[in-house]
Amino acid sequence: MTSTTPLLDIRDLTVSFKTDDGLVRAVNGVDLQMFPGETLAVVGESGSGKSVSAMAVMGLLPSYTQIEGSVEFEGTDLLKLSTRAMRKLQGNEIAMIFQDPMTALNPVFTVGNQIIEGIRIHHPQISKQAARERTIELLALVGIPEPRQRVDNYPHEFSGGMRQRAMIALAIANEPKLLIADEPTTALDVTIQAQVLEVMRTAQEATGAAMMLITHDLGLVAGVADRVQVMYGGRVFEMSDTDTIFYRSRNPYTRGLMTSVPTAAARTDDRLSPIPGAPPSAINPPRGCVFRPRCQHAEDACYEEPPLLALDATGRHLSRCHFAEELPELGAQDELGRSA
Amino acid sequence: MFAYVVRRVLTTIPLLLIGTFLVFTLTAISGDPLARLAQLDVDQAAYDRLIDLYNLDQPIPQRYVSWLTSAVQGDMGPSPSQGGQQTFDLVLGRALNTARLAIPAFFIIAITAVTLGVYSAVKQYSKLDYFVTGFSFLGISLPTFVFGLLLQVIFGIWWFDWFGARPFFVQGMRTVAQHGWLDMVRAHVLPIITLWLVITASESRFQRAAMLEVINSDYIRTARAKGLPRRTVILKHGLRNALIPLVTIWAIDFALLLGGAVVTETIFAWPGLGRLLLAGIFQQDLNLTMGVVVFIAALVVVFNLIADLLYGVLDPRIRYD
Repeated sequence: MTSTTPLLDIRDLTVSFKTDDGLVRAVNGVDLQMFPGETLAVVGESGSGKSVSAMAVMGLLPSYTQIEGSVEFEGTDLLKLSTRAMRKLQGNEIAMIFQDPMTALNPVFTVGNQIIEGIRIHHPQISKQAARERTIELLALVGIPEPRQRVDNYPHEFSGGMRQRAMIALAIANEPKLLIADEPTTALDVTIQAQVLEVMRTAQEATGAAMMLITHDLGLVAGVADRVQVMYGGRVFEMSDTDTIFYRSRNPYTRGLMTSVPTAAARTDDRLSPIPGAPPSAINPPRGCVFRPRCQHAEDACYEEPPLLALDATGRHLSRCHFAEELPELGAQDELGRSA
Repeated sequence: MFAYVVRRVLTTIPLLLIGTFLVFTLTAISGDPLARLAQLDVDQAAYDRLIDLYNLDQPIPQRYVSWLTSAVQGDMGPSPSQGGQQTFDLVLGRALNTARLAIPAFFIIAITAVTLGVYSAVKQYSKLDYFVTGFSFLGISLPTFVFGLLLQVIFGIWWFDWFGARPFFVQGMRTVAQHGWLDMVRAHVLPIITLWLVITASESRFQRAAMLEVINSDYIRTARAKGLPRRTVILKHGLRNALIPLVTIWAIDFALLLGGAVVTETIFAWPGLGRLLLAGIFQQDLNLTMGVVVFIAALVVVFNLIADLLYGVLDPRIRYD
């Protein structure tokens, strides 16, 4: 499924905001590659820099943000593009689905008109009528019942799940090459989450888009992602294919994330072991490894910033930990993680 | 929607009753309409006429009822302080004079307030934003009588000293029919500027706040993520939403303007409703005071209703049923 030239190639991305309290470094030297058609999950807690990275790709960060590094999309550095050139890509080559469908649609325009507008801004040659037909097809594709009637509804006449479906329809309207979904199911009912995820998969198949799925929900990742990139404190902590992340993780933070997720299948005497402490301050990050204050494996060496290590010759498994190779095998993690 | 309008109009009836009763009582107890006659050296018949006109030999509630009985039949009574003219005709005539100021002022205010508010919200914390915010504070804190007098001093006295001419009239109304277009405009400029400063100051602040809230909302981010030009994002997706809360403010301001700006009209000697109301109060002319009050109350009721109906046009989430 993956080819060798990346569709999206983020190198050493650093995003900082000036605030009254000091410089907030939300993203700190992130590398990220995405290949055509693949699904990459970007996983991390709040404040790990995952959303900010996505907004940097979309060109949606406010103008006072300081962005360094490069974000190459099909060989063009998006950070160097003019706003006008960037607008040609937004919603066309790169589209985004947001977290809260309740507020992401404009309340005063019909759902249909908002999608039609998205089509016609990039394809002015398409007639209003044709764009409307296309919109009805899109609504049908994302599973809106009676799309021909629903196209003229206002967002408030849609349920949360339907609004998110409409957002997906809007995002894939111009068959983008890259689809960024920022916590697309977080604001939805659990019963709706699976449906919406399924719709996203259908949408992705229909357009052949690569999808960046930003989430804090590891359970979501297991079902849909080809690869996983774990972020913490504005840095990449681990990256590999989904199986490796789940069964052969070589990073204490990733492991911590997994043991803090409740599962329905867990034994009743199992206890959750959340990661102690809180995410690091983006203004005054801890010295050395940013995860050190919360890490049960931390040693003196961790007062130095650990590098992102390649754990195999192909570089398909990366981990940012001094002890990546020395961590116990994951089978032993139950005792290790949950007795702590 | 029709049912809604009917219901709204019906609910205003008790409001108008309470309002007129309060104003009637307060006016009636705040002075003696006969006191003015004492200075005029008139005979007993003049006293009797006024006593008879206002039923001054009866308690206030009964006087109110007899006023109300005539008023609902369209008879607002004569106005003793205005030479016995019919109150209804007086109010209507003065209302037209007030409208000469109110209507142009309203549109100029609405356009400038929206423009200033939107610009300062979009360019938040820029020099322009600070300028607009500063201007608003000036307009809100500078009393009308100070600003109006200041304009009169500048254009009526200083300008004349410097350039030997007066660009604008500082007193009185001029009409096209009697004085021609140029003089009409020259007479309207200063009172309209006075009204403009005060109301634009507050409206632009409301517009700025409404626009700020809107442009930081998720759907604006969605609009930008679609690749829409900035202009479309701000004017179509942003302003359309940010105008909704402004509609109420417009309705209140327009009703107030049409009801007569007492201070502005007094400063510029403009024969409008505001000065008529002032005359009614100062001369203990109950019929006149009540006539103007009822007119203003009706304006407020009608414009609030229009505002609520406009809400439904601008915001599809609102349904009247």
